[in-house]
Amino acid sequence: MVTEDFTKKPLPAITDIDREFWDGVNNNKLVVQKCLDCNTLQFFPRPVCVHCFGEKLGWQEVKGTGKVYSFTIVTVPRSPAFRKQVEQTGTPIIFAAIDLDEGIRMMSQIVDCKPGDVQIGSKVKAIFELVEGTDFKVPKFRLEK
Amino acid sequence: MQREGVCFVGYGETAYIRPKGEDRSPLRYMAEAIRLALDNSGLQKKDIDGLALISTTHPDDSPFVAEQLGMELDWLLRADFGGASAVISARRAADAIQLGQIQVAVCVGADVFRPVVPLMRAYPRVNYIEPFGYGGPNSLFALTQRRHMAMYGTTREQLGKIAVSVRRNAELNEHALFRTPMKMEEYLNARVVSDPVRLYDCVMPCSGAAAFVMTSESKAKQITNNPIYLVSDGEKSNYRVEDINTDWTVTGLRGISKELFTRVRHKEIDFVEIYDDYPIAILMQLEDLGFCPKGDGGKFVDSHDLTVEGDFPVNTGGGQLSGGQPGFAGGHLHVVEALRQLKGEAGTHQVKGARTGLVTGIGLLGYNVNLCSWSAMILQGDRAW
Ligand SMILES: [Zn+2]
Repeated sequence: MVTEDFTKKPLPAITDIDREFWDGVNNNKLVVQKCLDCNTLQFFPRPVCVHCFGEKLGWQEVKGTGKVYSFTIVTVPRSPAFRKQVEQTGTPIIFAAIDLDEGIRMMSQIVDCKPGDVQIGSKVKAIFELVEGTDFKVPKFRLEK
Repeated sequence: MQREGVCFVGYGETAYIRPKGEDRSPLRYMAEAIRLALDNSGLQKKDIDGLALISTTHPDDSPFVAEQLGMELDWLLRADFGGASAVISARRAADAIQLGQIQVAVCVGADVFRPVVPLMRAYPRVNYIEPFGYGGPNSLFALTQRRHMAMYGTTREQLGKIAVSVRRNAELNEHALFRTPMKMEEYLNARVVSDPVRLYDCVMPCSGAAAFVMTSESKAKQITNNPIYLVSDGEKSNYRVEDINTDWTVTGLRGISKELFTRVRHKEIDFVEIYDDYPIAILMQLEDLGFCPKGDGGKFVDSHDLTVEGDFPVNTGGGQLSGGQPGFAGGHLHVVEALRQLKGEAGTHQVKGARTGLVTGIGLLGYNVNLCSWSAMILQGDRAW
């Protein structure tokens, strides 16, 4: 059962399956699983390759560049901590699905721009941002000029 | 698959409510819905030998739940397919009835809108969605809705027509939570929740339970002169999950619509009960069930009257959008409404000539796939009301 501290931003519950991903992020790298049998990349991290069911999974760094598949302007975030942020800053969250250039899709947040600046197809690049009140980083995205 | 010899004989549902003060336990709702379903069937508790249940807000293992209800059973299932649990429960019960394992199965869902224990959430959601400030299911459907609007030109007015039409149906249904008429302007100008999703795109969580009773054709004929037959049914989990970049506007119903419509054709369907956490969910399901080509869902709703008085009645009791979403009992609400129509017991919101209905159940928002669970079934009575 997951218990939550509603005053803090949600953090991942890291397991042996996805530790390398979060270690990468906290070293300013975006690394994703690569199947050593069939060479397929996949995200999110899993116990097996979704194509060949192989268990030999390595990690490959990706460029962190991609395009917006879709996005939503969140005025009512689920997490109370994000809700407080939206209320205090008056700025909604831009939550997006991003297709990375390597052909994998990732959900994240687009930051440092106005909601009206984002379009389906907009080019974005990953950044690594500390979660406030922690020394833990999560990957977010910025619009590429 | 095509079914022979499996019938629905009754249904029951509690009021759908949002109590301000202390609520009842989900198990009280569950017991009430089962009792009403037995009454509607002309059966008693001792006749039940199979039970399929879902209650996320009462997460006891299913034998514990059955013990609390005082049920000795030969077949027991906890359905954990989210909003698809009702239809998938019906499929499992139909299997057991056809195999002769059981005679009478009750399928029930019960939830309350203020959970007393923390809800379990899946690893992809906790680790790869929640840290980024999303707005719950509203945001995940917003991503799909924006994509559908961009790819196919679907408009908010078209989605609004769905919301306004099912509200019209709810006005006529005493069981529905929201029965005041909704104007298109109210839908269009509603508060933004997760753009492009606004307030009246979202279901309102509530407390409640719904149940239905299934049995063999021979037993059904002993207890009623109006058995409702299960004609065909199908389910799909994780449609195209190996495609790492699936098209989120496509639903898993595309993978089962052919087998659904083997014996019954589209034009024979008198009404549909489509799982409706959002109008865009209805639109995409209508496309993938084959009522119109992919992407033409907007045009389809433009060219049909979706109310109970119309030529293509959708969610004849108001669905969940106007009826309320009693957690994962939401799928059972749609089955109950279909049975009410097919038994000719819908009163003021009865569809004229209702003989054949289609019900879907969808559930559990995924990560690579839009939703993990998709299911549907076609039901048919002997007579048209
Ligand atoms: Zn592989």
